[in-house]
Amino acid sequence: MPDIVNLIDLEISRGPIQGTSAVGGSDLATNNRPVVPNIFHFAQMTELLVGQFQHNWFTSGQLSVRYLRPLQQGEELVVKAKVISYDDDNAERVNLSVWCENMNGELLATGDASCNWGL
Amino acid sequence: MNDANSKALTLIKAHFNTLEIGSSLEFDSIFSTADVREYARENNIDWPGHYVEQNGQSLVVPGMIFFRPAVGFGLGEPNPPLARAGFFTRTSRAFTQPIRVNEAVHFRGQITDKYLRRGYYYIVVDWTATGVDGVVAVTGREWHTLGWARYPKNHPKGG
Repeated sequence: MPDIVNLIDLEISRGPIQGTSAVGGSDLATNNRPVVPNIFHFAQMTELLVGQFQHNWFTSGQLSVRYLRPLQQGEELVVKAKVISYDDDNAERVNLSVWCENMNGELLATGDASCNWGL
Repeated sequence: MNDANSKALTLIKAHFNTLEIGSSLEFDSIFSTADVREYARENNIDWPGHYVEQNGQSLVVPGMIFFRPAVGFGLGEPNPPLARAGFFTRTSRAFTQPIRVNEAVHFRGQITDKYLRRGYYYIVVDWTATGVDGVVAVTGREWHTLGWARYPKNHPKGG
């Protein structure tokens, strides 16, 4: 892992990943097209963060997400995260912005995450 | 509103009215290898990948921990407008210890809020997942709609 003092502005990403799982719904909500459940966005975020923080994520990870736009089945998304600060009370804890976007660059979900960095 | 949407909203509203803030449910569950593998396949997750402890024990993928219980509070009933359990609008989770595959997990959910907003009926549920050692492993809050149907934007309840 990189030294903690160098983490600010560190960017990580995952994807593109195609959304293949589908959930139905009323025509009003989905425009009669199957959409990928929002848990797919969350799954991609946690996969990215687990890959970065590894075991620390299971013991100190936090993630809050707002879902903004559904992913249509078969569409692809990219999930990205950026370290924005250290925790005020714990120098080994970092705060991140996390987001998903589709291949047009449209935001699908945004969130905040934090995790202990040190082993 | 079309007939299907009106019918769905009638049922959803009736269900919404039965839900009480503060009501809770508890149950035990186990994430089997097959459960996790299926979730990982559906969501393009590399499992077991990073999800293995030093002793070789496989871990449950964090994103799926509150996926199953989210259909609690009647949302999984075989009632077409509710069966899809609506959609999540926000999710918040905090992890304090891993959940291992094939180990019992105790879930507790409590409705902490419910409201009608922008045409959708919403509930907010706080969840905890407690491991076999009695320690809370994950806490979470989920905001989600009841079903997919909504009041149109030109409806008094749709704005």
